[in-house]
Amino acid sequence: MFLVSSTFGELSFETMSLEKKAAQDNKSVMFEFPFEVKEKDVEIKSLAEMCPCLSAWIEPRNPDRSMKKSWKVGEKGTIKVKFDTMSFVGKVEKAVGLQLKGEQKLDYLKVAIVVPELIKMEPRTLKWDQGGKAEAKVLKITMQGDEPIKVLGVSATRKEAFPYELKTIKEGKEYELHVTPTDVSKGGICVFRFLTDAKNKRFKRAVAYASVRRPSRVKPVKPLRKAVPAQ
Amino acid sequence: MRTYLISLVVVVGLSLLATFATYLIVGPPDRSVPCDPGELEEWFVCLADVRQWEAGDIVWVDARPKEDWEVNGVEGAIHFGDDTVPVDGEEAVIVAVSEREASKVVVYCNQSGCGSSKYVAGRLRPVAEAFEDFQVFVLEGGYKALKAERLGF
Repeated sequence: MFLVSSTFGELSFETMSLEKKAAQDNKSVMFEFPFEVKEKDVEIKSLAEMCPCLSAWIEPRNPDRSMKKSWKVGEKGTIKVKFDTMSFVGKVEKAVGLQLKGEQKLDYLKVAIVVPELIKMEPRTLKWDQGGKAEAKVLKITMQGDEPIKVLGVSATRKEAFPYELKTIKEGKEYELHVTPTDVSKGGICVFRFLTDAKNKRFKRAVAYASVRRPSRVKPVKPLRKAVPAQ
Repeated sequence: MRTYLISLVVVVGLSLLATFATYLIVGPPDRSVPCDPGELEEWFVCLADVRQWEAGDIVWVDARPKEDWEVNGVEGAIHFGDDTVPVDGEEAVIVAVSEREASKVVVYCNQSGCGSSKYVAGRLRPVAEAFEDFQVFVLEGGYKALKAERLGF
């Protein structure tokens, strides 16, 4: 049980954090946070969305449809949150701030959506070391969803330096991009842009990279600090 | 009526004097953004630490709404907000990192907890790991920290 409390009353929530998976054609995802008033009557001061992608309201409303702010002990309500999926891909976490009368602080209702990535590229970046071998490398493109997604074409920002060939392994499902750089004596990158027939605008384009890495820049990636354990 | 107006002016004047005196004695309100490096989530960074890095080695990424970036984004910052198609944002950042030969990307949104910078950093980190030559951080306190620094708090 989670409590949002103030000297003026207490709201009891079963949970204050929810996560849902969004289907590909979902323009929005709904979340509901049921609550009950405990101990003392409550006055809600504000309900504030922390993102333009959220709309939050409380039900039931007053008879005139305005937000019901005064709640008596024993009453039950639901805070509803509509999350606009916009152009998000992957996991997105947002919050709605709830403030009770008499309190300076906000308590947060957390909502998260997971929009599946439909186009998988392995690896994301084809890499060669500067001064190394200019050998051919392969980027595999796999469509993850149930619906096929065809690659309609590919372009490169430096095609003379990184000539390539796109091969169809299984139309709508699997492709390979074969790249053989002409010169690895100098560092630099090339961006490959793929155009698809995906219905969802998020996936109409995809990008992958080729990189000739300068020796001084090759170093392992590590976090700046150790993760702080949850308390 | 006249007496009332005079009383009102006297009360307001005294209040303003008291406010001014308090300001002189106590100083301006503390609007700095607190940041304890030991309490940060992984890959979050305090502005004070960012300022220890070489400025030319950083690509700033503004995860706020586009209109905010246009008005007062960090100079040279790339925009990658909630409404940016992810592949466009990623490409813009990668190209900037390559052209500027930077090894650090610092993402900020309006303030701590807004979620946008964490989302954008989450999109960029797999690409950074694939490249293996730059790191992606989230600025604790977001634009609020930058503004407080600019105002001298």
